[in-house]
Amino acid sequence: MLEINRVSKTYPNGVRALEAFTLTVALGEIVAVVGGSGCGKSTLLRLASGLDAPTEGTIILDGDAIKAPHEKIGIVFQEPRLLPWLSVAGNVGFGLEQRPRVERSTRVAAQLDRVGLIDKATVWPRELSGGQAQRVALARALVMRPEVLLLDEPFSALDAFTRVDLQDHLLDLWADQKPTLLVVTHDVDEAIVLADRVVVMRPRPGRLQQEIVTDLPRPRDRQSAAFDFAKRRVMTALDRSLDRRSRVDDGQTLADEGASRWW
Amino acid sequence: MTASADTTAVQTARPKRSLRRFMRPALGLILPVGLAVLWEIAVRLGLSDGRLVPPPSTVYDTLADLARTGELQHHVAATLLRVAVGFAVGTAAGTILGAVAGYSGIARGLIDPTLQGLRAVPSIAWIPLFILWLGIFETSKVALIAVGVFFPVYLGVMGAIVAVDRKIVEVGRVFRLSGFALVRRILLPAVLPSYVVSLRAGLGLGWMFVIAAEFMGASEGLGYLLIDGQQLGKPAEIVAAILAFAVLGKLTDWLVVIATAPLLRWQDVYGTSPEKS
Repeated sequence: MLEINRVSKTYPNGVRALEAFTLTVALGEIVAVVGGSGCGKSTLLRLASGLDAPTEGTIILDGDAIKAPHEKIGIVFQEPRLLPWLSVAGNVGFGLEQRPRVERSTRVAAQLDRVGLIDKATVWPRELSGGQAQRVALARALVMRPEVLLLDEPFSALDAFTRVDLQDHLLDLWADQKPTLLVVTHDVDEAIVLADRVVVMRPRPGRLQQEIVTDLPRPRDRQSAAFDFAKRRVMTALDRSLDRRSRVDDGQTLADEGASRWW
Repeated sequence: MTASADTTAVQTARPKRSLRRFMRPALGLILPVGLAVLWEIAVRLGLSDGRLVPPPSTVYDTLADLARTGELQHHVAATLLRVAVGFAVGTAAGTILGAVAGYSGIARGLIDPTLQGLRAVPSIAWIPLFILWLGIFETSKVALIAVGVFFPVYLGVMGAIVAVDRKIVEVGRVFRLSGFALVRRILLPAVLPSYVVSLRAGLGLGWMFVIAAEFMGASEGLGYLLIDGQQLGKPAEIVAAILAFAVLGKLTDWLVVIATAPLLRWQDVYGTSPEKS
């Protein structure tokens, strides 16, 4: 279980990026974090990954306080961030260097096979398309068998077609080991396709606005009425998060007109 | 999806590339060979006596004589050994200190100002001190060459490490690398392309400094041959030594390029793209 307890983050330049944020994510749960720019959602992920330390509050995974990158936590960034001097297989096996050679190569091959890129094992990252590179980044994180996988707008740099493809693929991969997924995204469709629960944040400073349970049956139909309804609820929460006049939750009058302009 | 497009591009590029591989050096030869031939003709026609600027045939005869007596090999070996040892020492020191200063801000604050100060001293200014400290034989010469090689390598490694993309370094941190492991697995591979450039710059300075070192009193080496040619009024010998320097310099530089090429195949840069003409 990942517990984020009243975490705040103030950057050295004085920007208050996150304010008393609390969230508990159960093992195997998929939680999406959405919010406008400056709502601290990327900061949240960096804190959870141990790359940055919170100014106040604690992040605890299975009783361990996260203060630095942890072996049970993997992360996939917005860009693939593959190491250009290693082959695809070398990138996927990067975290397994301490393991015996045979174990490493079988795990890398299995994971590459799983993301459908076994035929690309020996090529350089520069020879991959954007979608392929992001699959390799996913494989590099998943091959470590993380208990928690953090994804920071993982598909936002991809074209719409590849994005939908990779969202389905991510759910498929998730089913293998059922890690906890914490996905930051600015794509409401993506949040609802993926998540059991959507956390809406409000900006400056980043705070929790609302949690919305989106437990539609899987696989989810992006065209269904239930999907649309869930989307509408998230959109409404997002609108409220950005409209200072409606700070007191007093209805959903802004829901429709604001649906397309929340960011 | 782009794979098929890539392979066709490679296939169409291949015949053109092999042609270019043949044409490029030929293009570069036109100027020096043309000038040499013109000068040879000028001397043969009596337009110049070629005493101070010997024609290629005289230079060739001198080189052949030196090679026959084994003198050339002897001098080349002496100079090569000095450059090799000096280059090895300078590169090792430059790489280690550059990596340390690049990785740690504290180390950089500690050693970089001093090294930058020393770098401002023209390295030839060290010669008198090195002779006093290390004697007039090999050690002082090698030390001078090492100093010459050290600075470009140190600066290159440090500057490149400081400039490594933070996002790539974070990948290393996510995999819980730090200290030596982070340097070895992330920072050094990331700076490899500029490292090779620094090595080549260092090697070039190494060749420069070996001449300075050999000018300061050597009994063997190509630098000695230069001085000997000057003192005995044998310009052909000087030109022969210069030619030897040119060939050796180019050859060793090429060796560095060849040796490091397999390490840089991953680069996605303008210079290696098949579309470049």
